[in-house]
Amino acid sequence: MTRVTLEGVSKVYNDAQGTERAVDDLNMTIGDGQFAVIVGPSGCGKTTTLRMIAGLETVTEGTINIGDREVQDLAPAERNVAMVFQNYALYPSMTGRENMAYGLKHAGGMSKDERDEHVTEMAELLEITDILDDTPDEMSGGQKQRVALGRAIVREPDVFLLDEPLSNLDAKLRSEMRRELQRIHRDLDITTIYVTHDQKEAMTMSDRIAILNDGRLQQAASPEEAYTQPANRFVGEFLGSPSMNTVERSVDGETVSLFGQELGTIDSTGADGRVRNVVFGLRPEDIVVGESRDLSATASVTEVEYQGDGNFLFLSVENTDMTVRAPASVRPSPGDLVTAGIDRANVYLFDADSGEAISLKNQAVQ
Amino acid sequence: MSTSFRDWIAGRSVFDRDMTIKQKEMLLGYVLILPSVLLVGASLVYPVAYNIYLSFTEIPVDPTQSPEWVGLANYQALVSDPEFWEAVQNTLIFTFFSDVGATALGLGVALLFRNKFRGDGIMRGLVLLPYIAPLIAIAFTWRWLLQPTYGIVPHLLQDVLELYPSGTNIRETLGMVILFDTWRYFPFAFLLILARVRSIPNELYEAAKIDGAGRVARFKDITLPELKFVLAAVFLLRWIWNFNVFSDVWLFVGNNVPILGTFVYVRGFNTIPPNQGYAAAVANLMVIGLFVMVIGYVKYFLDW
Repeated sequence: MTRVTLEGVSKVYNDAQGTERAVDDLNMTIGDGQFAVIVGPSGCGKTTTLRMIAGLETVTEGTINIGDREVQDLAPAERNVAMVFQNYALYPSMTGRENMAYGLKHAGGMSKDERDEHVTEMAELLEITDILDDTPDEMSGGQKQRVALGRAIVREPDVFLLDEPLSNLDAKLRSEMRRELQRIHRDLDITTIYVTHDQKEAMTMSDRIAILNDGRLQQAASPEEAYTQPANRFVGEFLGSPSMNTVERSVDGETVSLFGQELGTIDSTGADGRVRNVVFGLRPEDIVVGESRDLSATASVTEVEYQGDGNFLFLSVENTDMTVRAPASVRPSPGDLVTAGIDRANVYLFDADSGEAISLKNQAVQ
Repeated sequence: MSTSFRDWIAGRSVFDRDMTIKQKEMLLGYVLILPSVLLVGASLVYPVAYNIYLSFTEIPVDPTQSPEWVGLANYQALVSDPEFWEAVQNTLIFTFFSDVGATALGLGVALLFRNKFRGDGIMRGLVLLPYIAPLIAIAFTWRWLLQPTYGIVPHLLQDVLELYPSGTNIRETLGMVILFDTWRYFPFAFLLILARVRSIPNELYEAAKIDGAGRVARFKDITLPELKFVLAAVFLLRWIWNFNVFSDVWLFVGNNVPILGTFVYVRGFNTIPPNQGYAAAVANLMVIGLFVMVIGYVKYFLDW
């Protein structure tokens, strides 16, 4: 049973440039056998978090548990974790086989034949049997990636850590390796923590997604939940491509309206008693062009991008720019006036100051 | 027909105009490297060739008389000269141990500098000091330290540690020259090795840490293989310089410990009567010996 728990984990860097909190009071639980993805923009602390779990960075505050063991003060080798690095970090002087057997050799308790057997077995799973005797400089990027994966999982670690492992591969290979990783995870059922800046990778692969920004956890949930019920504006905008359209409006009384149409009512005063501003979030795929919905407005088309399977329309609604993902059949010309509509249920609401999601007290009645 | 410089360079009008482009290119290539070839020829080939000629002659002291051809006599004398063989032995011992010493010390110090630290620029400068300081100054400092009657090192080694009987002149031992050269030239090894040490990706060490490799294993499995070529190159360069060394040894021990470099000088200019043909023969053997060693080394160890 390998559950990974982070409690109040912080990382503070102190150097000549001053003090920086790279990770701030992080609380997170990754269940046994889960595939968890930590995602966020660069500099959000996701790699630092992973390196703290691996033992490559010290933990300034808080505790990390792997299974029942508190590990934050243990050396990397004592944690029984395996890690795949962004640049693979294969040992250049060793063959694929030696690379994969290196950890087994140092773990001890296995004869050379046993080690060989394990490596061969893992190589079969990864389909790299024929390159086992090559050195890393003779391998292609995809092959190196597989050997690096093999090196990590052959040790049967309690936790499998991956730091942007696919970012050096081309698009086709990346999607292939994505499926491969999921297959391996299904086969071996190892608790996996995967770091990426790519929200698409995060959404497609994970059982659980943790979104980080500025060293703080924004939301930890299933991908569906994070997408459909974002905890705050950052999560709403970060997930999804093209990203969510946002419109900031001040609230008049308790009623929130968008483009002159009532959406519903909220508690109009914040904690400090002032009228609050809200941000509407509208996902590009929720906006319909050419039909009226709960809320509709007339928009002028500024640009159309052909995407093959559909079009991205760039609209201007009352001087607000909107991106719409439309089916291929909807293809207006720049300058056209169209009707754009959205259903009430699809409009997200956030507090403009704190960014927190706001729920409506009452939906406006049609 | 106008013959511009460009035309001339390209071989037009000078040579057959029916040449293919490829032939013209080749010709142009030869024309372009000709100045370098002449320069190298004049400055390198001529002295070597002249030295080979001299080694088959006996050179009179009177410069108005021309050298007298003696055939292989100098070489025959050389083979049966015990002092020559002593110099060969000393040279090999000195070359090998001061090379290993400087390379190993340079490696050790470079590893200390692997991670940047506060003030490492100044420290790096200090490490280079023995290499930068004028040889004449440091050689005399060392000689003073090693003075047989009042130097501190002989006192320590003889009277305190009783490593060898007092009365031996430590300045006359090859060991001290090796120590001196190790100290003087390790910064060179340090500089070359440091550049490579710092370019080893940290991720390799991190991966090895997670794999459970200890310090020794990480050094053996990551650092050494990554430094293989720079170590081999440093060793080769130091070997060449040590083998041909003159001034360090001369300033330090004079003629008390003959090595090939000082042996050549003493026989050619510092003996009465001087025997320059003999000295030329020794120098030629040094070139041949070094050449064979370097070729063998590159072929069997470096795998370039």
